[in-house]
Amino acid sequence: MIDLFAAEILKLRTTRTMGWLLLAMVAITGLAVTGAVVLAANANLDLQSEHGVRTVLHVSASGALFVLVLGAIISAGEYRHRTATDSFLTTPRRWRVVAAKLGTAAGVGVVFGVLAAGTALALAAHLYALKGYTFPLSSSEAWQILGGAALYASLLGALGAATGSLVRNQVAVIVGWLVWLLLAENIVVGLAPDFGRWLPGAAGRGLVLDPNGDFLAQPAAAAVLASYAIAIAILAIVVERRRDA
Amino acid sequence: MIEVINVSKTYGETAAVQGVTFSAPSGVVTGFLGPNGAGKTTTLRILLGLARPDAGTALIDGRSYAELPAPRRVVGAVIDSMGFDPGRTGRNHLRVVARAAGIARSRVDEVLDFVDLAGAADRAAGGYSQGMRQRLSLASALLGDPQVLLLDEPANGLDPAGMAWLRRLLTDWAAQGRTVLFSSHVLTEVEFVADRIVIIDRGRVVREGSARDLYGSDRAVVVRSDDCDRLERLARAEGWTVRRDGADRFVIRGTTSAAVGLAVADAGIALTELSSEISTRSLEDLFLDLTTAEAHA
Repeated sequence: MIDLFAAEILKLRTTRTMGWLLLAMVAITGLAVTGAVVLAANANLDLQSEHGVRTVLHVSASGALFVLVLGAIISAGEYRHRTATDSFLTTPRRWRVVAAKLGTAAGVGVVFGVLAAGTALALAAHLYALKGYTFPLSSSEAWQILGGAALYASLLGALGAATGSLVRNQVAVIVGWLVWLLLAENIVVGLAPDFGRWLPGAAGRGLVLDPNGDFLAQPAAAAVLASYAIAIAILAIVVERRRDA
Repeated sequence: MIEVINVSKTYGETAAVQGVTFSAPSGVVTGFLGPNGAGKTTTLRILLGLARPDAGTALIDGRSYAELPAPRRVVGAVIDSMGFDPGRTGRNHLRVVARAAGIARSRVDEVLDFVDLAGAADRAAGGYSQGMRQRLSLASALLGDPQVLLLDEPANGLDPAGMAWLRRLLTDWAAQGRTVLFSSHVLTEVEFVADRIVIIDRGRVVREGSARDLYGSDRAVVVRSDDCDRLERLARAEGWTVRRDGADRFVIRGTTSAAVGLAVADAGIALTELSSEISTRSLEDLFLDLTTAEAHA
């Protein structure tokens, strides 16, 4: 399995895709944090309060969608460029291919998430100073949110990779998840809030202590998202064993 | 040693292969010949574990592909559905395959030299010509120094020099006691290099055997006589296969020149020529007889 993880990392390092996605993720995170600080300050919110910190920092998860895209490329991208045959020839036990891709996406997702969270923190501290505030580095919420954002990136990466193994079409996976997370899920949450808390997007908002609504607590949110990724991965393995490569 | 035993596979309503059985022993080059759509690729994909047969088994050295402990070190395959990330260099493509298969990185440079692709190895594969892609596929098949080569239409896209190089590779591989099975729809490729031929048509194996048995040593007796009608009647009575070739020339199969001479003397037919020809039947004749492929005039 170590060889398979190493090969997946090598695949990512030998094309430019990963670099562009990381750049996009950091840029979006920076933009989101800047916007959040400016809007909160304009609304005369106390930026140093717990609510203020949550309002500003929970947007540091917005770039995590790029990790989902990366996860989809790691798995479904193999069908786009027809390299999946090579993978299955090297590793005929297909569950190992699916597992290696899931693990790689989750691992790279953590790294991306930490880099994005670091960007969010540095930028927030800088903007606080500009607005005449001191960023409350001792606030436990701040660190919980940043940790949650890194974890969210990792879990979205796993979700993207698992769905990509199942669907085998990276455009369909990416468009499908974007439509779900940005559009469809909000409608479902609006119609049935109690049920909606358990959906992946809402769980993600729980992970970053989003102050705008009633979401799952962090451990439950992480468990829910991980369960989605693992359930889809198992489904992908079951289907993959039966179908032709 | 490759053994395909009674393998069937249906896609929707279409039976791609039906009860296909043949073997490819080690030490010889086996050509898998058939018209387009005959079931060659399906059979190879089943051998490689990429497609599941509805029935039958396909074994490499006695095991199914999925049971091989280190498949890349046992089987080197080139198959049509393999591609490359256009943004990755040829060298990095091979590094990825080697890494996943636990093959030493030094092999990458060795196979790049071997397929004569070292000069282009650090360019993105998206800019490769078809022949270069084919060489890269072959390089990736050879990475594990496998005992078995399984190649689907390996000559596609190769220039004449590349074809000659490929023929040498296949012959050398078999000469080392290894197994080579390659498919083709081009008769001359198979004729040049295969010691053993399996002909498939419409999903069924229609002939299997050594090249010599199939067409190489087909003897024919050639006679000339002005007594055409009586000669033809005699041939029919004796059960020979006879083909009239010109005004007074006949090509007779299924007998020997001695037997023809005796029978003709008994019948009192005067001959103006009696001789024997070797190898008058080509692989092309055999292929067109056995398969539904049409000869294009």
